[in-house]
Amino acid sequence: MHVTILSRHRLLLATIAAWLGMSALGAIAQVGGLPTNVKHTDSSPEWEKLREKLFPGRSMESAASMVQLVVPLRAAYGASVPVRIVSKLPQSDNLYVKRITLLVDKNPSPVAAVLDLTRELGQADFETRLRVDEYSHIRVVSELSNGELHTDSRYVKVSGGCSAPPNRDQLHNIGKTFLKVPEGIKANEPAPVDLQIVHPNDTGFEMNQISLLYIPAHFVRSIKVSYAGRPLFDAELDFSISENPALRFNFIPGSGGEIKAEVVDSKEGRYVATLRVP
Amino acid sequence: MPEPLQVADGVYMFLGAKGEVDPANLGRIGNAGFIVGESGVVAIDTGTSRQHGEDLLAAIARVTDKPVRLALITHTRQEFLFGAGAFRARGIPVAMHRRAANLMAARCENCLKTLRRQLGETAMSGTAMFKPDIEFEASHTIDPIGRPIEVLYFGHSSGPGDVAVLDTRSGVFFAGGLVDNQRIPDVQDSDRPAWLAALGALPRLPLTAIVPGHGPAGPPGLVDSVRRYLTDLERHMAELLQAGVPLSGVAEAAALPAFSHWDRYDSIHLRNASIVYLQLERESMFK
Repeated sequence: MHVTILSRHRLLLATIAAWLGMSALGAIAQVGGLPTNVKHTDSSPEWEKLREKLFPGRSMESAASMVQLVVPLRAAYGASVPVRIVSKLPQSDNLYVKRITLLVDKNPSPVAAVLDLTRELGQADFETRLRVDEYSHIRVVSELSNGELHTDSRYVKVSGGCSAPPNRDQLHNIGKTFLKVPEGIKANEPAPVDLQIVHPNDTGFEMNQISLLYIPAHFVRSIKVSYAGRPLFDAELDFSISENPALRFNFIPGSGGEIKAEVVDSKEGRYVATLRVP
Repeated sequence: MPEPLQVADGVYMFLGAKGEVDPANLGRIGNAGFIVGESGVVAIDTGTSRQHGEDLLAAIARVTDKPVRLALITHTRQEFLFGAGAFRARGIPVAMHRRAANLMAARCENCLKTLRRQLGETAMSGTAMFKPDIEFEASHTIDPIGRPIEVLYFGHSSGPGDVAVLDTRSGVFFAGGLVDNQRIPDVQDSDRPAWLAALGALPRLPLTAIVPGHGPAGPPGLVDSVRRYLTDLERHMAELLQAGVPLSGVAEAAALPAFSHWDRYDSIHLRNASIVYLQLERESMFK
């Protein structure tokens, strides 16, 4: 093949034209390979199995009347997908949310969190961040104090390809736990609290890039939170929770006291944080 | 069939497709290139699949009958890696930075699995993980073809083992992961301050043109657009964090209109925004 030598200017025009031409081709191309027509409310084979194991023989309401799962439409980064659980009822004496289970169908360990709740929360809303390995449903199951189960789900597509290498530059800070009241407080109204723990939350599936050995699983497995000595919730967690686990929850400020978070990880590391309010 | 575009005398590039990996573009979204010397050819990057590697070799053979002596892989992204098998099957050694090779060993089994699912078995047939024949640590000059070529390592910059390739005769610079043109650069593997420092050092090199990792070739000034994107991204994410915008609001608030016409703005830019936000958040926890 004979190629004439182009001036730099003509060369640039030529390559840009080729680039634009490819874009036109790309526009009519059908995306294939991965499922794209899945609905948020669909089931999955993984969920059918989990459901039978976790809630055998129990009926489940899925009209989002009592619990709603909110995930940004564009969950861009699979290592840390922000999710919000919204309860449609207050934590009142006669009816309240007793337990919340959060799941990611396709993850190797799908049960991300089981939260056992008290009425002291005021409002059983939570936010956290999840690892989502591939296209998957995220589900929440909310169990009320009368035994009813309510569920909601979102189908999440995270951009594929290679995942980020784990960040391991802060191991000396592991377990550092922060509590923050980001929006201020009003007496007797539920107020949000942010809890974040410095922790790699290693899954056991990542390889160390220097030694090429698997990094052993090491993750936060339980958090107990209380206010003024009264429990707000107990959380059992797994490595489907992102690195540096973050949790937003509510409490009802009373006459003052201490918010206390007790954290235990899978290697029996124990960490405590407290925050005096107001 | 990939079409070689001449960048300078004896220097060619293959322009990758725009957009996401899909069956229509066969995942061939990265650039590749080659340099023809007195006695042979050095190939730069190897494509997405075994077949892509075969097609690149066939395209090179239509330009010159000189033998390909070496394939250099600039960085650890699937669209530059997995054609290596085609080269190695012909006894052409494949060279990579040691850290790029380690990153590939640590995670690319998964990339390959995902590619197979996205593109299908036929498109990916014969494609396998590999270990490079040559691993190196530092910048060095090679001359297997009677034309000196500099392999430049700037430390962990756009990625841990990212290198660039400079053809000293023409001044054409194959930038690998360091520079993309009209395409959002991916910050996922980067050390951003070191990346910016490397970009800052490039104008001191005798460059005449840049062949980026993605997008068309351009003048040395391309470096500035990447620097601008990286600094604007960081500034904007610092503002969001400062304003108390939660991670769940980052995608909605991530807009950087100056770059909205770049390829992959709807995907890589959103991921970049989350990544930089989380890095800044982590840094703020250690203050």
